Amino acid sequence: MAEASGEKVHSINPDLFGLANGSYRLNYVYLMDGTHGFLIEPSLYMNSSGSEEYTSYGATVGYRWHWDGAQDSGFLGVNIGYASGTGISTQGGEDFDLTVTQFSMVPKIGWRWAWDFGLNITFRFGIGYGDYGASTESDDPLAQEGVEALDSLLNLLPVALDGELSLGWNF
Amino acid sequence: MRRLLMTVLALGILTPGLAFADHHEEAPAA
Repeated sequence: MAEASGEKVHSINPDLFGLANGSYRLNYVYLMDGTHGFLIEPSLYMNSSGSEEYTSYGATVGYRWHWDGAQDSGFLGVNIGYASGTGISTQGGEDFDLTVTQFSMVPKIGWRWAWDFGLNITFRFGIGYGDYGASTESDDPLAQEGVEALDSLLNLLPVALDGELSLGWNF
Repeated sequence: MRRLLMTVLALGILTPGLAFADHHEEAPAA
């Protein structure tokens, strides 16, 4: 078991699986005394397919407790996040847009395998509360009806998921 | 139709990986 005082305090973990589908997300964790971890995690996603274009961004902050008092440890904690995603579809020269926002508060459990030279592998998973909002700038009444229906549907199940599988560096 | 379009956009926003998979499904296997 590593001594708390000798533990590296900084780490950066890019989400490698996200990279594979055009999503850019990385987190920085400041680990105090090997035990108390403070996380910040920005994300960005851009993609276009056919007549649709998507842009999403978000940020998550979180706290976690490393129960072995080291980088190399399991952990428990909570993340709070906000994300906004917009999709635009062009149909017959007219643009239809939809924006979905999400506020989330998710308890999490995870494991970090860390080696002394700096490498870490981190896995986390959580399920918690999610508050969604759907909106459009379109004047089309049918599009607006569709967005209202989506808004109700998304709020039927106020659930948000959180996850990470990443390769990172401690320093 | 417009209502359906909004649902398609919502799926694209909420499941970005799937939208990408659709886009690339015709890529030839190695």
